[in-house]
Amino acid sequence: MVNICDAFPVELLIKDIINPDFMTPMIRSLHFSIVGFLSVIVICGGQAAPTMQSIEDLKSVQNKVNKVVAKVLPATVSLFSAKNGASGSGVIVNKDGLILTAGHVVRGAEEMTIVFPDGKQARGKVLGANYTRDAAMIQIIDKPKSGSWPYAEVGTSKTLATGDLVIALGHAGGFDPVRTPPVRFGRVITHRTNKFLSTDCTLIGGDSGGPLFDLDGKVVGIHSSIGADLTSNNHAGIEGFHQDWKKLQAGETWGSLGGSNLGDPDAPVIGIDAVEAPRGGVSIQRIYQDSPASKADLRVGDVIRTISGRNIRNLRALYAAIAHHKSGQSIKIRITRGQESLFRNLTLGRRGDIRR
Amino acid sequence: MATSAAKYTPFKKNFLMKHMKYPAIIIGTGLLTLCFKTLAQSSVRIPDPLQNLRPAEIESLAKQASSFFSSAKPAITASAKSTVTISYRNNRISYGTIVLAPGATHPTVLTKWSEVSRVRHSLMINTPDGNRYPAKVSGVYPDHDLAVLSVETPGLKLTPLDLTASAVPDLGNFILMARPDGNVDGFGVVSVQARSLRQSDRAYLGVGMDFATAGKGVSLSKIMPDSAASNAGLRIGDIVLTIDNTAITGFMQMRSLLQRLDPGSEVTIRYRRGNTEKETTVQLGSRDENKDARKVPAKHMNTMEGMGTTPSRVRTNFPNVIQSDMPLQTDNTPEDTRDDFTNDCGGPVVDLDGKVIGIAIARGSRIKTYIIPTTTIQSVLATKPQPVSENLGRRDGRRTRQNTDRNSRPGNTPAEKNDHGGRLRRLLEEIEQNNLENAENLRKIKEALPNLK
Repeated sequence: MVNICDAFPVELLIKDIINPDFMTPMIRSLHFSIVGFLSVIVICGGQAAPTMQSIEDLKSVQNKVNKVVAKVLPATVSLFSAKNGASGSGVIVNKDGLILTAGHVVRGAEEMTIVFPDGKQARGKVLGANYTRDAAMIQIIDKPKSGSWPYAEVGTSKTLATGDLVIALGHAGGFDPVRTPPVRFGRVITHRTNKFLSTDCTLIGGDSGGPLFDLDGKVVGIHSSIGADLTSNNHAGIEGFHQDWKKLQAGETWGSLGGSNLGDPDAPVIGIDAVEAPRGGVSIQRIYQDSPASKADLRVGDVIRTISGRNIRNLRALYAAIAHHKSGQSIKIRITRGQESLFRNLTLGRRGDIRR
Repeated sequence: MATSAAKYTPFKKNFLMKHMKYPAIIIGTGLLTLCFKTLAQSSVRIPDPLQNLRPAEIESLAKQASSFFSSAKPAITASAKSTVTISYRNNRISYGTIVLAPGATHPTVLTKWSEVSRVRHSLMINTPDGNRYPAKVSGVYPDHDLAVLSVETPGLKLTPLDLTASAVPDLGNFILMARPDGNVDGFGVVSVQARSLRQSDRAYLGVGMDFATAGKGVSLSKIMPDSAASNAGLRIGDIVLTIDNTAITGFMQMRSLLQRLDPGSEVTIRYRRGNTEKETTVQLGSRDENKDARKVPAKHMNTMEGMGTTPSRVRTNFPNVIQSDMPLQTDNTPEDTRDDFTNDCGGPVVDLDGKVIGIAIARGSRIKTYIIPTTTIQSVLATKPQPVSENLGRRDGRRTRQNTDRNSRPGNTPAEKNDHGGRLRRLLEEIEQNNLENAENLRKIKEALPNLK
């Protein structure tokens, strides 16, 4: 999965790799038969996705989309930090200028500049963040001229079901003065994983932190990451925000991105790039300067075999083994270098301390 | 909606293949713990949300998608009659739109030039009534990446698209693309209203601006030589207070304001230098295509653009396009090299009333498809196309698909299978392209050298 914040490298969420559900190979057939199905926009039995029966049905949905877009577009803002280069999107949810965004968008920033679709600017203070749910809040500290910032209402993601129609906005690719944030329309695919939901509203870098709306124009999710397919666009469900609202507003920051890693500057690292070795183990391709790996005299070409007794058969195992620790903790690592087998003790570093 | 009726079918047989085919998607670059360079060889795959659903849910999603497509069918009835497929040696390449240029006696077909240029010598068009006719490229509008195909079969009846029955859609409007067989091929919404994708259509003052947003005005940190700003006597450290009486409150706002103006227009800038306030009138220049701001997308952005889709080779710099989230299908059978050039560009796009919105011209990335608006098509048709020459065409984009190596290997395109000349031409084109890129890189390095310490 790729975090869709502009300033981010391509990233992989560990929880998705080690979740056995995801590992099950499945080949499903999707047959397409044009069936005249029961009625329209009504959710059949609370389960079936709303279907369209005629052009009129489509038009009535289209009208809703038009209305929602006109109403919430001014509240869809672009965010960036001049200091650390963090950037993304966000949505204002009250007249005083409270902004919801993604945790990975604010990471490390205390202040962010808010840019409205019309190019106007305001200053914002980063409040709290729950990195585990990729949720964060920002407060605009400037006063609105008209007494109220444009804002969208917050809805609920609890009742969302597969097939529910949704609208995504966000400053895809970053703020562009000659373009409003692109509108995307789609439906909920799934919303089961750890308060996250996925839709087929296609997202890309820069969309991170942008809003997902239901057809009433209420915020139901915040864009978080994408996967390989057009159907794999992941949003932090608004329910997670509801549960943490007070803590986030009070400025608390907790959790870690993707359960282990990503932009979290506190994530444990050893400071290497690695590939899987042909006969098992993980081969070191690069050692970062002054990293725990370089201090422990690991070298390019070394093959990591075990970490604290755990067998490291592949990258996944290595990742999981490291993720089980905290930065500052010591691990014992067994490597093979040519014919030699060596042990090294290594103190895990912080991601934020590694220079690239 | 990122779906299309046809999209789901290949899923069935190619599911595993798809995941094998996109190793770069699961590459994590630069992450400090590891780099997932060889995930394609391991069993780790990126999950697809569809895998997580119950069969009933998948079925209901499929039914829902098909209900959208079948309900929209009446809207495309008329435009389907003016849609053709364009083929080369029995392989479909693109769609085409039948039009009647002002003053012309015979209808012609518009299609995407960069997709047919390499095989332009033996093109066929397949009309909605099921017949095939040889066609040749009679002219090109290179700015719009449009080719004009003419069909010289006596007595042939082609139904031109009624461009007067057109509409300028609202943001979020549903739009559709037809197939010649009367089915809906693509469904999407209007994501962004028509705009120019060219930097040169944006006004350029030629200043660097201070990031600080506190207080009034924006401090200038850089004045480009020979720019509008330097001609007007602006200096580093000047604080811009107003532009045409609009108060400047931050660099993003100032940048936006300037970029929305037309090159060549005059603005009055009020600024503070030391303790005095001054005013100057500036004639704005135009942004240089090569020089700045058109950020070469970061590596990972590039990766993302091709995730789940195949962007068109030519997909930038259009003078006027509507942006939609309609997924254009390209090469939906990756295991079959014969259709590597298959794409859905060139067909007409209509709204729910059947009014013509424009012609689909490029797949930009996983989130966007570009459509040339009907009004632009009309004004383009009122001008004379350029004659076809060997070097005509734009090569400003390349496919960013993850495994282009197969595509770039000679001998795999429909043109090249049996066509040595085509293969050589293609190689020549590639060499030319590389030369251009090298020259550009050299220029950049030379530019950057004096700035290095």
